[in-house]
Amino acid sequence: VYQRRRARILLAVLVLVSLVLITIDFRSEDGPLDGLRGVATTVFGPVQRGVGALVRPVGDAFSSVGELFDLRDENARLRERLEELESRRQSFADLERQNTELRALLGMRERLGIDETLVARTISFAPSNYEWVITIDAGSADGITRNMPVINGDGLVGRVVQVTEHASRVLLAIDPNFAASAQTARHAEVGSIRGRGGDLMLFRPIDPEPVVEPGDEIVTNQYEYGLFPSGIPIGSVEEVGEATTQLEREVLVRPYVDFTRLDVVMVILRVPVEAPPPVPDRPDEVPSIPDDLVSDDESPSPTPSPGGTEDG
Amino acid sequence: MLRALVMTLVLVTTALVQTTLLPHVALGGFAPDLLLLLVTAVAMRDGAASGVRVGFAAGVLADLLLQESPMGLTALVFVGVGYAIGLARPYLAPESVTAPLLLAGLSGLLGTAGYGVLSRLLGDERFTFELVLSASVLVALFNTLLAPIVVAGIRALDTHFPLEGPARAH
Repeated sequence: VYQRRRARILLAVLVLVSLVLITIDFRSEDGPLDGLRGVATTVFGPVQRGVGALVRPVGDAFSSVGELFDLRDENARLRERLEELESRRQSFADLERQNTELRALLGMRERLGIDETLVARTISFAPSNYEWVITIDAGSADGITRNMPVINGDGLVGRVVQVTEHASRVLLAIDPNFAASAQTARHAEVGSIRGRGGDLMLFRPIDPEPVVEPGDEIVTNQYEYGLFPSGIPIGSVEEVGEATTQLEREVLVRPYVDFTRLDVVMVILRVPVEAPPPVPDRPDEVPSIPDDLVSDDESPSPTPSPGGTEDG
Repeated sequence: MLRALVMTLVLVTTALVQTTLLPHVALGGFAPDLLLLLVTAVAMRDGAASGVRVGFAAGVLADLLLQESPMGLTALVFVGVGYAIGLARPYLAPESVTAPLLLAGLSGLLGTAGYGVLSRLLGDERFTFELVLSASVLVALFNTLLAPIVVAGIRALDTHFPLEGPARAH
């Protein structure tokens, strides 16, 4: 009986402490608890790096045992992938052409290209089945800041969400909290893509009747959030759903990146085209025309009154 | 004292395995929840008081290593699991083989689902019904499979470092 009472008191106290922690965490952005997490990353980082290097062969062995069962699928997939790569070679020619055109249009603008990158290694994954976050072995000392895009040889991996001096945490693209602007490579159907946990990602084209079919490649687009440079491959369309009642179509995308076997990743330190500053939204104001642009035969009125355009 | 130290070591090692090795065995994006299984095993062996204490420590450790979830939520869920399993302990046959498997599966299912439901109640929209269901079922399955190893490990730990510290008595 004594044991049980003690357990009950302990339960009450620790539940209370947990609730207090949750409340503090909810009320403060970047508060003391976030600092604690930074400390945890700093302390655990080096150990995880060592253990990770040790267990990676074991993990690979596990993975290959699992793979024995679906070698046939793998074969079919590889064949498909080969065809896909063939077609991508064509789209590369198309891209190059587009690039030339864009360059002509942009005139003096600098050539698009990602110059400043940093290679890092994955040292651990989040200890939860609801969070798809990895820790990498590079941090603020290497020039990493929050929200930087992370890619690997296959495509988009995610973005940086926490930085300490020598390690950072990266939110993977398959995490439900992850969202980015994206488009189909072939027909430039623009939309947003988000993780949904687990295997597949969800692409929502803006156009409810988009030209999308299984096998189409989805790439990033620097249109809306501006975090990711355009053209990073994300995945291929697996299934195109019916339009919902809100006239949204849900397209399932299989990411190119194998998120269970992340190792070497690349952080993009500077996105080539910065997002322009937001345009102030003041509809009542008529833009003032500089004096020297007003033609001579009109009466000079340097500052038009706000109500001056009602006839238009 | 010595037991607490050993338990801390076990917790840290488990967290390391959870964050480095287990993601490689993930199925459909979901991996075993070794920390939850450890809490279950301790509560099954030593009762509710130990379950609650170890549950809180394991939960806070997991929370520190998480990024997107509120701090303290895993602790809350693990404390609940530790207490519930501890309460069930007197009704288990000591040498039963099926009971630990069943409880490990059950705690995996309810612990993972509970975490998902609480997060949703706290306003986290990413926890869809489909996500919580698939995570819970897979964790339950994984944890049932891993239960014999972890339960045996905790039993060994208990024989070497018993709960009420008779090792310090002499």
